[in-house]
Amino acid sequence: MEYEVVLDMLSGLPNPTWRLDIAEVDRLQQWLSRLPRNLAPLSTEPPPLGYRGVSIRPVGGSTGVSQIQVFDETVVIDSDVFSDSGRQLEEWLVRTGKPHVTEPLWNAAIKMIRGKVT
Amino acid sequence: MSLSVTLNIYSGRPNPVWTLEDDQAEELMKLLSEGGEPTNLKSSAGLVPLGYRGFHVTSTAASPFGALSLHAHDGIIDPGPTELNLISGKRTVESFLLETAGAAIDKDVKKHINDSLKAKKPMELKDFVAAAAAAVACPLCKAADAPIYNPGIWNTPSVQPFNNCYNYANDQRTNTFAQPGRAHGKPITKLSCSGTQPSAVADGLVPTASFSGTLKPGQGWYVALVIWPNVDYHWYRQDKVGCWSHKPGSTAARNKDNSGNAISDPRTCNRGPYSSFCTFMKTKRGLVIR
Repeated sequence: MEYEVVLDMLSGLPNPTWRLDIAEVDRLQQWLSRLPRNLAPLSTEPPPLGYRGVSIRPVGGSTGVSQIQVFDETVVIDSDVFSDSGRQLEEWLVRTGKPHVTEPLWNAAIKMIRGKVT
Repeated sequence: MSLSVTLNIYSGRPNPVWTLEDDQAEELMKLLSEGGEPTNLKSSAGLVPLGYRGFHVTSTAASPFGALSLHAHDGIIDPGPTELNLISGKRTVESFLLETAGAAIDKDVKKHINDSLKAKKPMELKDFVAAAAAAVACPLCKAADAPIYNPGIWNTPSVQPFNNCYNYANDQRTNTFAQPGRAHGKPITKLSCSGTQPSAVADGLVPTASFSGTLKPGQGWYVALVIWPNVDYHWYRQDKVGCWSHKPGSTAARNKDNSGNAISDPRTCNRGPYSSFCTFMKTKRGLVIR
């Protein structure tokens, strides 16, 4: 199973996308299997302009999952909500994109994850 | 007695609703009769888009309490438009209503509200009025051809993902995620004002110092170019109503900035990381973008 990652942060240019390699897919599946459910209401909505999170889409085949969205300690897998404490999964996903995006863009994404997005 | 309580907290999900037992309804009435001084202060519920926004208590005319519709938030009891608000610094009404929720809410929601009850302060009336006024004050639109703000035609599955800010500013749904200059062989050379503006000029857009000049029918409308240095560009357009709107990438078209405020001037609105304001430009019907 392949996964495509979309870094949702641009407006004029298309959002950067890349595919996870085999090792990264294994790591992703480990991440997803460990996420605790999050029953609290979503407290943060991504801003219109700037970093808006990461989404992951399975490419080909069937996983039973259509879309995973990760933003500000919250992971939404279809309609189920999980917690990403410390934004660790989110930052890891962005790190997998380093070879695929420009340096200023990648630096901006990491900076926005580490600071509170407003 | 059927006093109904709605907890205003969710955006996408239905808000929790429950009914008070008779003894709870009596206790609530007692708290309301005891608690609070008349005040001009307003709750911030209408200005808070997400999270806890208070309780709404209602009853019908057939209830022993008569028709009732009151809001409790920020320590303010708002009994409706014909009566003065009441303030209770201890927020006893909200705390009491929270305890009546029982199984209607889970423990995480309860914790979120308890945290909110400790933190929030009511707004001064002048601040509320200023915030509300700032949300609706639009400049006069001088462009006869300015588009009408109608996000519904953009925010559909067959349009929204395939059209960006440049499409929206030019009011053209090309479904190509249009790029300045691409239709005329002059792509963006650098993600800066000087590297992006000439591409838009190649498409036929014309730089202008402001959006105060009159544009007659056929002369188009005003747009604005801003830059996230070395990362991206973004466009706004002035709508017929006078305020500005935009479509951030493949997300929904909207008329609010990053602070949730109406956009009276893209030079001064919250643009997030798009820190460089480049220029206003004029665009019009019939330009070719791709």
